[in-house]
Amino acid sequence: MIVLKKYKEAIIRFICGTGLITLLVLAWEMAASGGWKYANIFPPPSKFIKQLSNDGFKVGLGAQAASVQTSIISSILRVLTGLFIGLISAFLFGFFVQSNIWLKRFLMPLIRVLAPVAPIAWIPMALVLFGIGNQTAVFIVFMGVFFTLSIAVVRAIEIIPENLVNSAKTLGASKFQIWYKVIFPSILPNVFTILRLNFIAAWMAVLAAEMTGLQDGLGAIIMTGRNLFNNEMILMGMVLIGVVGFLFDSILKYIQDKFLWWDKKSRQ
Amino acid sequence: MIKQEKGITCENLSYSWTKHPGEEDYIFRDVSFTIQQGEFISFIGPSGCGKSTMLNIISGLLAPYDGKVIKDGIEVMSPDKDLGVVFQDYSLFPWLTVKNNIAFGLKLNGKSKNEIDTRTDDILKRVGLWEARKKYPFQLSGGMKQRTAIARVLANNSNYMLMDEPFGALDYQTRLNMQSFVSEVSAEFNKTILFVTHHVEEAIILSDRVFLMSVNQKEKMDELIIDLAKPIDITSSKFNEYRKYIINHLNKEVNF
Ligand SMILES: Nc1ncnc2c1ncn2[C@@H]1O[C@H](COP(=O)(O)OP(=O)(O)O)[C@@H](O)[C@H]1O
Ligand SMILES: [Mg+2]
Repeated sequence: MIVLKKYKEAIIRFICGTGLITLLVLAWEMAASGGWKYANIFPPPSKFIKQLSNDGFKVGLGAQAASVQTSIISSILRVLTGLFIGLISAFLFGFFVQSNIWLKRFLMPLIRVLAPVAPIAWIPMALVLFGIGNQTAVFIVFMGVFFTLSIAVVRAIEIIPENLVNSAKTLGASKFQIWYKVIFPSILPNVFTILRLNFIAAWMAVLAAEMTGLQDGLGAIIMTGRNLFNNEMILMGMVLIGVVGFLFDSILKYIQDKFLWWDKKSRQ
Repeated sequence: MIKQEKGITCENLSYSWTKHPGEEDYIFRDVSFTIQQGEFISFIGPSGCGKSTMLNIISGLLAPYDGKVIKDGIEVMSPDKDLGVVFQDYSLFPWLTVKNNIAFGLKLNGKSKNEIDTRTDDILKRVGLWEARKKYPFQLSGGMKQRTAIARVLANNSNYMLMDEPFGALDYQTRLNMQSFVSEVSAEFNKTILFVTHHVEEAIILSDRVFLMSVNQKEKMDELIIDLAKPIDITSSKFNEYRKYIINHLNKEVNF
């Protein structure tokens, strides 16, 4: 019973979440078998799910066509790489900018102008620069997260309570020790929250990049489906995108709750 | 002037938040005083009179506009671990346990893990935090948090402990409790303590001398030497005289 109590909220959420989705799927199935006139455009799960077990289900055409598994892994690796490079760069950039007021005055306006540009807007240039390939996708993800994360890092540093840094100074911390022993852990939870929100943007960006002509990846499933006029394939792709994105976000949330709890707790 | 070897000497300290201050802009001006090693000094005064500013200058966190702070014969130019500071808001590191907060200063200097453990455990036991050593700051009461902040300075073996309204956020009972704690600590660890408060009785009970700061009178601080037999009897007439003296001083300052 104690175990149940501890997980009560999680269980309730799981039941509610899956419950609603199940209901919607049932309604969808019933509508389709009842002769819904858009059932061709929106084939129900019972139809498109078969795509997965179909050996012939390939993303892309011809010899380069990839399997679904490969596609999922490619997409995830691209997002991870882009997020990782973006996060590290944002930390370095934020620390750099915070080290001198003039750097901040010159650089922050530029960052703030670049931040609102949608990552997909970089696709045409990226294709010219890097061609069709992983680099383009990673670059798009990077562009999608770097500026926002940089702004988040700078802001998070600005709002660190002054006395937290002061107490480290009076305990004998050097400049460098203050950066990695106080400032870095102070801003980590804050920045990670932004990272989590940005992951969704990055996920969408990589799919957009994949739709522009990468051979594999979840975005490419949609494009292949479109080229083949295969609506089942498109819907399958959409579901995969949603589910994989959800799982990924759940992992990020888990990391946040498990390892980066102190921001929330210390505010209580 | 011959500089004493131990203790803190402040020579002609002035401070202003503006770069080119006019008469009105000074928080204090040309203030000089000396604190002997082992003394317990309180700074008392209405809020905004510059108590925190004074303490931050002495700890090296803030550079004076003019004048200097000399500690043990050497001018204080930057924060120094020999001048430990306890802040009103505790300023504990929320991601570290009580034990690791206390070990923070020790870990900065590349001491061996063994040495750090022995020292931290010893401090934890002496300040009554042993049971709480694995807790995080958010799990502690205000009094326990402040105990941890004090222990963090003790672990660092600072000779001087600067405390800026350390009990301002605590309830009455906890405050009394912490007052005797600090009293014990200052005696047991032989610390020189600079203590900022606006609590009159607290200042009298704890201090050897009380410095009276003021908003209007910027060029000197009045000083009250507390000469009371321990344990202090707060109903004695001497205690009352001290209290009246300080309250009179504070009342002169009230302006809306
Ligand atoms: N960062 C700051 N910038 C400008 N003025 C400040 C700053 N901090 C404090 N002051 C001013 O300096 C004066 C003294 O402040 P402070 O030393 O904090 O007083 P106390 O600690 O005695 O309440 C006050 O008038 C306050 O408004
Ligand atoms: Mg103050």
